[in-house]
Amino acid sequence: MKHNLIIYVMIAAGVSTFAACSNDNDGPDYSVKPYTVPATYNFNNASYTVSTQRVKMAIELDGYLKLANAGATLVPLDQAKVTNMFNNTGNPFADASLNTSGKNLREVTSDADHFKSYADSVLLYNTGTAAAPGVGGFVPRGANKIIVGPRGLEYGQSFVKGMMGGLYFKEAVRILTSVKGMAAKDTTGAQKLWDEAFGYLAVPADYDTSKTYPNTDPNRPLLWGGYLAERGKAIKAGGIIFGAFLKGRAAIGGYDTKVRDEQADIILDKWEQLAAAAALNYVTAPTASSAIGNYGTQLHALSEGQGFIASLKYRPTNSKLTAANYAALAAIINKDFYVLLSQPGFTDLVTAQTILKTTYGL
Amino acid sequence: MKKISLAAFFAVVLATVFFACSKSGGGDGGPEPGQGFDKSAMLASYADNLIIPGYAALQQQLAGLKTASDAFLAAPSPATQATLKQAYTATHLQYERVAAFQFGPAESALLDLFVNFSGGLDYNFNTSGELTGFSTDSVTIEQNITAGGYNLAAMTRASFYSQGFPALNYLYFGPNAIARLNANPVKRKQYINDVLARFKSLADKVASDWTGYRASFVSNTKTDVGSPIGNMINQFAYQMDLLKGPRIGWPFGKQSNGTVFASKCEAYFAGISMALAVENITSLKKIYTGGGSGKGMSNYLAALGKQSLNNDVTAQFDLVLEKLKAIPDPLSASLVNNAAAVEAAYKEIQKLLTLLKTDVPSATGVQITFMDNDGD
Repeated sequence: MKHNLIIYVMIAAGVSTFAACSNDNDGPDYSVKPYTVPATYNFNNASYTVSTQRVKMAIELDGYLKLANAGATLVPLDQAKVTNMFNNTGNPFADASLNTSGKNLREVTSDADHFKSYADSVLLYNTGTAAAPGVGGFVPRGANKIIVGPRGLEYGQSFVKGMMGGLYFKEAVRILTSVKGMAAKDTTGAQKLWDEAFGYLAVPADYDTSKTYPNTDPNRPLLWGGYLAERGKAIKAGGIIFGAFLKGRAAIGGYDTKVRDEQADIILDKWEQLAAAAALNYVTAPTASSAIGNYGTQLHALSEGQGFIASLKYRPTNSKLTAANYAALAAIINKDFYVLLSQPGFTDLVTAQTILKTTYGL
Repeated sequence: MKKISLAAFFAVVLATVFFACSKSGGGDGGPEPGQGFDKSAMLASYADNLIIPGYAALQQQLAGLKTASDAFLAAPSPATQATLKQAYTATHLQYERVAAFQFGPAESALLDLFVNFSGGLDYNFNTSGELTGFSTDSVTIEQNITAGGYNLAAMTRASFYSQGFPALNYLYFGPNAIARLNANPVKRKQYINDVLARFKSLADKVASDWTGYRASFVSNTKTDVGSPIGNMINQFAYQMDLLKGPRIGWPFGKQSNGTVFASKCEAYFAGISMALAVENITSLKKIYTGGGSGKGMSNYLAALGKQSLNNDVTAQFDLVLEKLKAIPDPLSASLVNNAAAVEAAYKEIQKLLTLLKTDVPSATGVQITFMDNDGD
């Protein structure tokens, strides 16, 4: 119902604008014209297949790396397979359309070698050895396990959460920033880019924040899309980001660059806050008494936190996070996790919590 | 004409938006269900009737425990040991009455970890070796006694398992407790007194911190993550998870294909696991109902229009208590000798867990945050 209200307000506003400008009839008219904001991302010419394919590639690679976590005993992985999945060589994906897409993860990832080395490190420490401070190996987590390095970093999480920053968020920032520089008349170009950014959010076109998507739903939100609900409910990330994508996309068609640019800013601001909210959760959860003493839980959470803090490296230039505070966060989360977890009062993690809370109003 | 119909249309739209918001509870200006219920008064009642007096009682019991412990250490005998067991039991039972208040001051002090470590909900009995659930790390304890120089503030599992109740119930009532005390009296007494002193300092800190914390506890009536109501509802679920896992289910073999871990019962050497479990759930019910004050979480639920859920919860509490009371102490023996009774209790525990971990949080808009359950 809320969308209907917006639509009618838009129409009302649009009609009056149109009336005001109707005398100006020399050449093509790129002044703002009426447009409606739909409730779903079903725009006529919407296309974001490539973004979706890149999301699916990371999902498959992440799923492959996580095979090592199953059960209590060693599950060997194939390094060639990991490399092929990252570069899309040798038909590595179960989804054949990904193999023939002509696209890969590496080509659009910032610091690609760095993130690739995280994926490779999962294999390096997947040896069946029990981990300990200074010794990489496995740590039991419930009935399963995680694979960590000598400093307790679960590389699989650094990889996937880091890629969420270094690929999808970074691309969304780049794309939406570039759209903001485009002329009102360039609707097709702007729509194409807008769609590409939307695809990296990885939610279904009829995304519904009130719905719980089961793991088996082929249309379920993935990566960032999943985190809208997982860590973004309190900041209403799902409704705000999805709503802004709809409104901004509609605004492009109506030559409404002001609204378009406002929506781009809303998306990037909230998306960055979502990364920060996730990071905050993961540097807080390991300090709870229900988690302390349980390395499987604690190291896993810190590793997710490491990935989300790494995502903030790719934040927009107008970010609320200063370079000094980003450096402070990075310095903390890149310490030896066993050291962070043995500090009385968790001084470093509490410092990180404070930076995230005060910077992002969390 | 047109103007009027447009206005009417907007009125309908606005009314609908208003209605949609009011349903989600606490939206933009919509009347909140349960608005007539005074949440602040509920929290004040918890603080003043259960929490603050609960920690004061724990301090008192600890003083009594110290006296009985001193008598035992001065003249170790079955008689002083029996008196000590009464004091120990009274202290541990009192701890069960405050166990569910593990937030705010208790969480800052990490009280539960240092005095009654349960091993963590994710620590699997099958894969994680000896020190899981309610264990005692007797190896570390004996090493600490022999070598000295121990740090009871260390943030490790070995540290948690070698102090508080796990250590005391081993040192007082473990195998050959009296003979061991006589064999190495100076160092052993020193260790016992250090463990007691640390316990006391933690309990004192939590009790005194509540004086300052009370105001913010009472005034924050939100239900978001980290809010008092959110914390309390999380603790209902957490205590139930402890009951289903470390307290009853895991020793019973629920995580190990039926292999019983008798020595991993809470306060195994004192043999009072069932008394502790019953007290824990009796207290949890008392907290849930607010002790019949009319200012409990149960009343809050009723004010939210969830009376039928509330009835289910209180009835299930009673059923769980009835089944728990049917299991005789020591639990370590009943796990085998009264397996049917344990199984029957376990079934009802699961139902109460679902109510408190799923239905009550959903009815109150509280998110359960203690689980490592994000699916990756």
